[in-house]
Amino acid sequence: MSLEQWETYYRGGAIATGPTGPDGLYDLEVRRAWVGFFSSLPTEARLLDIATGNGVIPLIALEVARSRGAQWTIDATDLARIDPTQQVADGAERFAGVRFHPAVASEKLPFEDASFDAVSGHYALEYSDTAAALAQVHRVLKPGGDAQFVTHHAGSVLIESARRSMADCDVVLKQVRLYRRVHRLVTLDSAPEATLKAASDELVAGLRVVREAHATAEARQPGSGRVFAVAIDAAQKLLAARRTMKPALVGLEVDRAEEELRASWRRLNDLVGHALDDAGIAAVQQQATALGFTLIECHRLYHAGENLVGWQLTMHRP
Amino acid sequence: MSAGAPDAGALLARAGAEHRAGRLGAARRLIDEALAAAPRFGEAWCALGTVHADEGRFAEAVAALDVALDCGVGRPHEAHLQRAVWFADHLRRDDDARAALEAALALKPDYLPALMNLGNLHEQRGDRDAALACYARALDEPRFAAVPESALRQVALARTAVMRPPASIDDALVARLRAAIDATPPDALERVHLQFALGQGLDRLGAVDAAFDAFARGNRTLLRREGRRYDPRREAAAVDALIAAFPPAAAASSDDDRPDVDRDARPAPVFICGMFRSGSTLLEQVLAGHPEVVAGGEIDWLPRLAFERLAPFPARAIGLSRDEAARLGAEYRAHVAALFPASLDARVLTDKRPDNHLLVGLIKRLFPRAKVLHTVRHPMDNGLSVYMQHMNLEVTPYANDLGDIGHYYGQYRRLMAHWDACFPGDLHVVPYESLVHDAEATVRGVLAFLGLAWDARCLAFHERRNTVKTASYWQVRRPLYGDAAGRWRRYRAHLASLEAALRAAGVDVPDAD
Repeated sequence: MSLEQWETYYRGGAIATGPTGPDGLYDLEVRRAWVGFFSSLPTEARLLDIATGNGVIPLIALEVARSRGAQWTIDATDLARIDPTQQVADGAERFAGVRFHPAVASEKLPFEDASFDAVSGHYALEYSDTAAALAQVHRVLKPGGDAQFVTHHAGSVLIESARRSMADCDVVLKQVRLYRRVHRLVTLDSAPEATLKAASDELVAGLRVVREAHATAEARQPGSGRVFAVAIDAAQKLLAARRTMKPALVGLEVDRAEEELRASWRRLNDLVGHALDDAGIAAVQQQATALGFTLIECHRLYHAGENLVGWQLTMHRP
Repeated sequence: MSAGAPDAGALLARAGAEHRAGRLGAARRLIDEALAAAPRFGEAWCALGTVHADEGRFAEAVAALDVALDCGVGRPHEAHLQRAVWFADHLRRDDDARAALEAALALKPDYLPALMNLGNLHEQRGDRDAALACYARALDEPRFAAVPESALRQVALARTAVMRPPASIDDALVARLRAAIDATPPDALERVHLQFALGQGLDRLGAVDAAFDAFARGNRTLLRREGRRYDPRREAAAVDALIAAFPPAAAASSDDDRPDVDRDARPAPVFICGMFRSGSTLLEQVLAGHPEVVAGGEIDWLPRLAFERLAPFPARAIGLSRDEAARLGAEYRAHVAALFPASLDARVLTDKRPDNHLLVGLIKRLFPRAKVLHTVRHPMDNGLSVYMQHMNLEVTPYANDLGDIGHYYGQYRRLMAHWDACFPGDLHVVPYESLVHDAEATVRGVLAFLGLAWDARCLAFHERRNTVKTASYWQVRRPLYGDAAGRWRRYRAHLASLEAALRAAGVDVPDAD
């Protein structure tokens, strides 16, 4: 798993990874799945959210708590070195009452046995060694406690989109090697005219391929060629930077931009690699059963009626 | 619509806003104005009906809908269904309810809600075949498959399964219920009906673990849908407030000078209370067999008095003068006399609501000589039975969690112990287990407490064809049976949280039945 990429991602302040409503939190059925879960909890409870990212699920829990007059204390862990109170807008205020635990693996939760009334995780459990993480969840849940996880589904719209974006990254990074072509041109200093022209022609040809791919993607589905748009934009900005920066420094900027796209690819690869197909979710349910969880229920979770966005998995520690 | 209709429409819209804001008087005045402007404005008559219903004036509510229908209101089938609900649930006019439902179906033959209500009405009246026939129509007739309310067909399947349970674990019905559950959306209400029906079927077959699993899923679905409403602190505070409002000393001091207004009044109201599923419906059915008893069932007059007119209750009941109490008592008598004209010739009218236990202090203010029958059941069996039933969360917000049930049970017993101390000799405990295992001796004791002569017809209650409007309506159609007594032992492995909560509340949990 490429931790660094996730840390970069969360430092950007994005709260949710998936379809969201105007408030930046999950909406419609996805939100209802969490509101339903939190609504079923007692008025005094201790909650744990694993792989919390920037704390989207704690935010929904806090909202339910406010509407019900419930008094919950919330702990939230993530393997990445997260800090939502700093990285999310108004984080200190919005996350009042939530204790974040960065750099904590779901397979090794630093809590006493039987500490929590409920454990949650959104696009979380599947990134771990699920058997080990579920064993930890079972351990830290109080008898009578409930857990709910939403995991990536191998056939979801998010995964399909991720696969497309990865293929697009491959076009930019491997097929065209766009950033290498940019790098070559911007770092040529006092080279012969012919050399400069060759590098320039090469870049123009590369950009043409990427632009055509972008147009094809947009024609297929508007907004779906984002990777190409980012790459074209980056190339133009980096070329423009030549006017104000030394070639060597621009070259470093090109490397940085390329690495950013590679990191995106790794994040998407994580996502696709950890998404669960029918056999995968069945295996997780078997692990839960073996640990002694009961009332295991699993549904396909849709957004706006028809967009498959994951599995919704609930379980109970008797 | 008449020339005045536009004004009337605007008035009605304002009335709707007032109604939604809970200002019934203001809503009614605006509707009256609308009707003055447009006397044949059917929608205004409908609105008047719902305001009357919210005021508890159901006869007037029905009359308003009658006028609305006469005026030619839109969607008349819905007006008929509404009339049927008021007839059945509040006016005890089951035949009129049935006629209203049939009228709705005549107007709109694919109006599934009317058919489902008709099935439910047949169930309450003990007409099993007629109920099953309604549900079979809902399930089999293609016209109901495509209507907007078609999810109700899953409820029809659930009710059918409850009335005609699976004969074995291999019965196709079990698989059909499971498939129906899998096919319903995760948090849908019909899923809850199916889960409880499956649980009840499996319980009868002795498949304890699978049955408990089904009940637990049903309760979880309900909790997710409705939200966990039980707040232990608030419940304990409510009981504290009742105990403070009706202290034993006050009850004792008023004992010497009880007003005599109800000394010889007939019928004497007898109040039955206890936990839900503690046998209170059964006890009332037993008493209904007595020629001098009229069974009133669940009468909502007293809770409405307490929680509407005397709100905030019990604070406002503390200062109730003796004259006011006597006047309210007379109002109660007039209300039940109108509901049960036959009761004027009877010696006893039973008012049976499990939540009467909250009102014993108030009841004794209104009727100082009133007798109270308190049904009790082994707390584990009682708790399990509540958990196994698809209860209305509005009424029993604790019913979906075994820990909450145990906590609530503790609070209820604490309050009943208080009433016992306040009114010694006026409360009589009727253990469910005695009622099913030693019916005659138990019933003799109850009748003696009420000053009634023994009558053997009390024990033949299951042959009676009256209407039972509680969750118990099929149990009371069967001869007294003991298979539900001690059931908790079979489920004990699943009941740790109930037992822990009961013990934490100081409730005695006897190991013997």
